Amino acid sequence: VPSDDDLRAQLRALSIVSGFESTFLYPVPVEMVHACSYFCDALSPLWSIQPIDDIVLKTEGVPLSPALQVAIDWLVGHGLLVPSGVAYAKTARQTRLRADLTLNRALANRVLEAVEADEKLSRETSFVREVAAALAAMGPGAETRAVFHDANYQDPLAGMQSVLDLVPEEGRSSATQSVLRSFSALARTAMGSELSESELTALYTRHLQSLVAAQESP
Amino acid sequence: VSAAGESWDESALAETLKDSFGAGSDVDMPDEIRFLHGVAKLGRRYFQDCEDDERGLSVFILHPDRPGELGRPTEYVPMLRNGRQSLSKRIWLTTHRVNESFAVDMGADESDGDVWTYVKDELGFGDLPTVVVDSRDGKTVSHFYPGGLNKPQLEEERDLTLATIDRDSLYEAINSIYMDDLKTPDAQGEANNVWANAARGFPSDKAEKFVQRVLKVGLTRAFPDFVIRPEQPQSEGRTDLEIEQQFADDPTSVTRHFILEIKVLRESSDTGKTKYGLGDTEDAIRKGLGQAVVYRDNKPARDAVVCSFDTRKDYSGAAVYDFIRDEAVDKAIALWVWHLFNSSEEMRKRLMAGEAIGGEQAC
Repeated sequence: VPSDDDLRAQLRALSIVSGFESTFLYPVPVEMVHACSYFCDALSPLWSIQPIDDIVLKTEGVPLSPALQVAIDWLVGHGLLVPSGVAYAKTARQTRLRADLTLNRALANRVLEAVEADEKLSRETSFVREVAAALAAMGPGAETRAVFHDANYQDPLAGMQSVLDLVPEEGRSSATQSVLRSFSALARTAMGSELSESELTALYTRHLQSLVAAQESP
Repeated sequence: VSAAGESWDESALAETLKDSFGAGSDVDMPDEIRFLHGVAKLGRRYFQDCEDDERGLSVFILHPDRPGELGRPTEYVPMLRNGRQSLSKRIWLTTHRVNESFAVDMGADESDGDVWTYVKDELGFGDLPTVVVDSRDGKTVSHFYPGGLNKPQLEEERDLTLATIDRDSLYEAINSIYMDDLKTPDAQGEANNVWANAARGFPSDKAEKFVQRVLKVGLTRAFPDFVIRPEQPQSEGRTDLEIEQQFADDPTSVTRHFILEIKVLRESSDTGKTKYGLGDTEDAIRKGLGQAVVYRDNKPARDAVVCSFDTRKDYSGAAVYDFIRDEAVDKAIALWVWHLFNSSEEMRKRLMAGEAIGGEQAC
């Protein structure tokens, strides 16, 4: 019987692939699914949702979540996700299988419709969908650059192979949370507006997009 | 400099806020409305300062799938919003976010009819939601075809150079939303609507939230290049809806055109166990007027309106405001009311009696 944590990871993976369905980056590379989950975790305190991974190891590439990968494997094994382009991916440290993923709508719809009917879960799905769409807009292969430019990853105090705390204890903030607070304060003082979670998420991902684009520009 | 480094410092964030103000405010809306909102904002910003030779027809089609062979050269544009692409004389296949897109050039000598024929017959996209932005002749107008170019009768035309919204155009927009989506349970079309028990005339305790959501979507459709923002906190409470717009000349500033206070007038609770009388109705209206005055003055906003949606059987129209009309006039607050029928049959009875259906303005 899957645990609550297993179920949350499975729903997260399914929501992410579903989020990419209405973008041009579909089938979605599994590395992008991991990158999307990383950003969802970094933004999770804003939405008051439980992260899949509250700490990650800072490496040169996209942080691969073991919990999420187990969930993806389970969803593929049970036919809810369909892999294509399966290949070996070699890095300096390991060789692993990678694939591009699509939804098997016939099976996944039952889960996604149940999620839509639940106010709390559908709110989380909506958030995941926005993050997925923002990452998709950065184009194929942008997942590594997106993570590299992320506020947490850019923290000059955190070197490679250090542990990033995405959801610090009360009284402390991650770099992402500090950025979100800055956006809130700027909007309040300059424009007299209180920004919603979805607006702060959009601003965070748009800023990330601009950093990725600036790096790509000649 | 933040802990995240210079690229995330406050001046860089302020630039993003300026460029993307309002982004994410539409996530709870249907994709075709987000698409319209995105195109309108992009069109307004791009065409307000562009050269004459950059003007022309731009066709945006909501097509969230990667296109196949289109019979013409196609360019992939991952970041349309950055303003580096010429929008005119092109057909854009894009998502509801109006950023990652594919562009197909129109021929230099193609007429509007040729473009329509290409979209409908050659591309086969005549049923997809489409926004045509026409920036010729010094104007910038959007034409929204929610049912695609195959259904021109559904076209909605909007001027994307509007610098303000007046009371008449706001009233007209809300009246149209009421006629399409609010007047009866059938029009509301959802299980979780204004009514807890429509047959017995018991409004839901979440009726205001439902009306607020319907108005947010409808007003975004009516004023697609404005931001419709719900639930803005103030020290005195929360505004129900605000209509705002970034200054064209100074994007760091915002004009608040309207504060909307929404009241659902009722004669019973959602279970029917608690009954409300005229005194309760007048208390609710008095409270709404007070909120509208304070919120308008504190924000500040240019104007404010109390919008009442009356579920009571003894609907009295604008007369429900008689006790407070003079005060509202004195404080320059508009008072409008619409009747929410608990069945289509009740509405038909009113029509058969020769009475008009629609809103009424007390002032």
